[in-house]
Amino acid sequence: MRERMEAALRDTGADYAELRLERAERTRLNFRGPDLDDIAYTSSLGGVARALVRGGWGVVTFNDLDDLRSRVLEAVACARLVGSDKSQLAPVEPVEIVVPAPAMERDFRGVSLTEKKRTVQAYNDLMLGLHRTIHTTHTAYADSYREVRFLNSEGAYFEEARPDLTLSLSAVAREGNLVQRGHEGLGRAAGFETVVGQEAKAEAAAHRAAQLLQAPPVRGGTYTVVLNQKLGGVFAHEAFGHLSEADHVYENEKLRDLMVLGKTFGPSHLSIVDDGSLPGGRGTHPLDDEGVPTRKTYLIKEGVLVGRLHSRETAAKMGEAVTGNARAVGWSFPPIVRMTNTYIEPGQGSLEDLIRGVDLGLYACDMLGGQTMMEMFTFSAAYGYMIRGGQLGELVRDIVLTGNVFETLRSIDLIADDLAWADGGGGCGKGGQQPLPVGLGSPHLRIQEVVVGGQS
Amino acid sequence: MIEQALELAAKKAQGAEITLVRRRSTSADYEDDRLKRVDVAHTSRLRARVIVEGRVGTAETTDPRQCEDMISRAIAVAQFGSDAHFEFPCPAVFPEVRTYDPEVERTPNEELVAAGAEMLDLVKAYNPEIKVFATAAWSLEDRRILNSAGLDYSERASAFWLGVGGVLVRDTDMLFVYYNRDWRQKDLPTRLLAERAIERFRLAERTAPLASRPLPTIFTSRGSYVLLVSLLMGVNGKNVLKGDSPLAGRLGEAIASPCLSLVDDGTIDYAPSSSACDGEGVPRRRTELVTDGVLRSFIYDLETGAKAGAASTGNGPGCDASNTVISPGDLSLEDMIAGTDEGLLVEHVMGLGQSNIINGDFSVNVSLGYKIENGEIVGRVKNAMLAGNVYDALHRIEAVGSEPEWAHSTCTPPIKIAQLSVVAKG
Repeated sequence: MRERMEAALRDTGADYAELRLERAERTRLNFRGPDLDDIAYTSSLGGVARALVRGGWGVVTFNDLDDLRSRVLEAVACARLVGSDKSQLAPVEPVEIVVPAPAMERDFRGVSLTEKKRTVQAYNDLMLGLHRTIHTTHTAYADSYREVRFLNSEGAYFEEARPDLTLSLSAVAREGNLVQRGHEGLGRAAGFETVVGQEAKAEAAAHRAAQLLQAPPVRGGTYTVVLNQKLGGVFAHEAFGHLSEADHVYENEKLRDLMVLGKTFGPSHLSIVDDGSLPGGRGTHPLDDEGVPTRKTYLIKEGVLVGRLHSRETAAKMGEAVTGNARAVGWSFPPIVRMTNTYIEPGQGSLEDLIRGVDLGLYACDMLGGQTMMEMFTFSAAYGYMIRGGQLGELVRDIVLTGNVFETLRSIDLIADDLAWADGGGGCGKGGQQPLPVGLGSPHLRIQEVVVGGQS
Repeated sequence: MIEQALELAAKKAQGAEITLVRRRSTSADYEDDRLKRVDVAHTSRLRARVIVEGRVGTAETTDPRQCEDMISRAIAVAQFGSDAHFEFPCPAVFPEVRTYDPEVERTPNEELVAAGAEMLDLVKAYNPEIKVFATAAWSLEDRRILNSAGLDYSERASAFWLGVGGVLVRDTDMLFVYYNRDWRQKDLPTRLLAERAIERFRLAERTAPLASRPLPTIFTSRGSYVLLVSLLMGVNGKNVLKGDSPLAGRLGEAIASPCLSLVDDGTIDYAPSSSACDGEGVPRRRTELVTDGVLRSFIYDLETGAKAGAASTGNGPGCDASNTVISPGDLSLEDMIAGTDEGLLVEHVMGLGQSNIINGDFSVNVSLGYKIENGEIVGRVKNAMLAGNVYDALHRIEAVGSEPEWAHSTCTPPIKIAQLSVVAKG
């Protein structure tokens, strides 16, 4: 196959060209309430050719791998329509590697459907039986094994197997018209052993759903909010991380002015990092999907904006170093600038230290979802507790936080020393590409004056 | 190839269905004032659904060489599948629905590039500080469904897509606007789309302060998805059957103000989700969901319909809506605004689905919305959260607008709700 890829990329007339091919197989299995709602097997074979001519890109995606040369030439023809300038790509020493497959104690491709179903059903039944108010469940298992090959016209080449396994455990409790959810999940580049022995997660999800039924909704208003690690990780990723993606910034002078390196963005105890080379991270790969080695990049260091995430093109256009952040979710997409494992560095003290001194506040935990639109963000905590007189008070539900990211970063007044990684099985979405596995990490954070939605 | 696949599957299963979808598409994308990419896709997908010993199994592949493997996988999956209370349908009389415009695939890439440039130039002429993005695209899909009951249905569908928007940054304030349109016919209303986007920027030139309190709220045509998303989950037959829909068991009841009527209609010529036949060989049709506020019907596919004792409404597989159309009322948006002393006009929100959406709950950030004072739009609102429940709000619809507008496969007029809770900062 490599020879065919090489032949397809030879003398195309483009300034740069690449081919990425992928064979994938996936199994998914979903329970909804007591019933197996969906079970399916999918296999795919596909590829994407990308070409750069005079600064313009042409992208061709396809399933038929018989005529790679035509696809590459079609991408070159598309690129010619676009380009009118100069091609700029940051120089990278071409790397050739065959990435060893991540260790799997039990390769899930060899596990029978019977066993997969039995394992998932046990969690589902556990949740359903835990409390009389549990009305229904959504239990989803998915595994995928993708074999990716990449070659570009500069000779960079990699082969990488990318296994991914996710388990999502959702319990829905109901009393009259009131419905509450409890959710736990996990996602790893690992074998079937990962999803075995996760009864505690199933129990936690069901208990939380049942408890939330008894909890009052939070009153809308402005609060001092302490975020737990999972929610802090979502905040770092959603609210700030996306603004560090250079493709948003590099051709927008106003945004460039706003995101100028050296500018103070937060208190001196705040540092935010993206690291695609972090061992065992959910967003870890040795190379990105342009064949660039991944690395640790400080985005904010001691409150100051010091870096951003790049593809080869954005790095060249901004005159900054490559970071290895061009990623594609699969064969049908070109790589775009994405996060890998993003986290807030730990500070000092404990959760208790953050809560102490808060007269009326909110301890917001875990996430149901998050969304940003440039500087505005909104995310939903799965549950939370009121803070009254420096102590944790009652459980509350329906917590949605919203605000302006720049104001919010400046309002982080305390960061604890307890960095933890979210174990959820979700993924990031951007430009129609989702779910991309990413790592989210944070210590407990305290933020002043956060708008919390709800009935006031 | 597809005939052999069916033959092979039918040998091992009591019922079989094979679907082949081939798709071609091209798009020209502008970002940050510049043409960035021209994309082309040539894709195909083969799907097998089988019934073995009364259970359903599915498998899918993009690789025709894996056809045999796909069928044995589908059969293996079927031993765990749900009980098949249905049979694959015999050939039916399909409605006449136009889904294909030959002009679409004749569009040269250069024309897409030019259409994007026209929209971009118009928005730049209004305000050169806006960073403009635009898309012009088309696609062509050939779909064929074969089943063991003798159905052999082929359909060609085209789509043409235009969109334009931009980002305006002022200090740390970023305003984001987007307006798009898709239709199965070739249509290049570049000027209209640019004007719609500019209009939204114009209304947001000023920012208006907002206090936290309940306010009359008007959802624009584009903003009405805040109400529709939950309602469409509520009429989904599968959600009803599982008891997850708050509408379960409420057919014939008033679930909304009498001014609301909603249909699911997959037979409108050239509409984005129209076709003569759904994904499992059942004719598409027009189904009244809510008439004068009264819940009339749910939507079903073969499997769910059979379990619920109802016929498929041609919404399979998955019981998802096709095109949804809300009947217009008699008040123009202008009059709706003029009749509001103090209120909110909502065009776009963020965070929908983070609350318990199937129950109708929403708590969203108003990402593009305007303050109304004394019957006039006075500026854009910022940092505002809108919260409530769709099913409560439907009973408090004060007016339905007279000018419906398509947004992908929904066609809705503006809708005014008497009051919704608003939390604002500053």
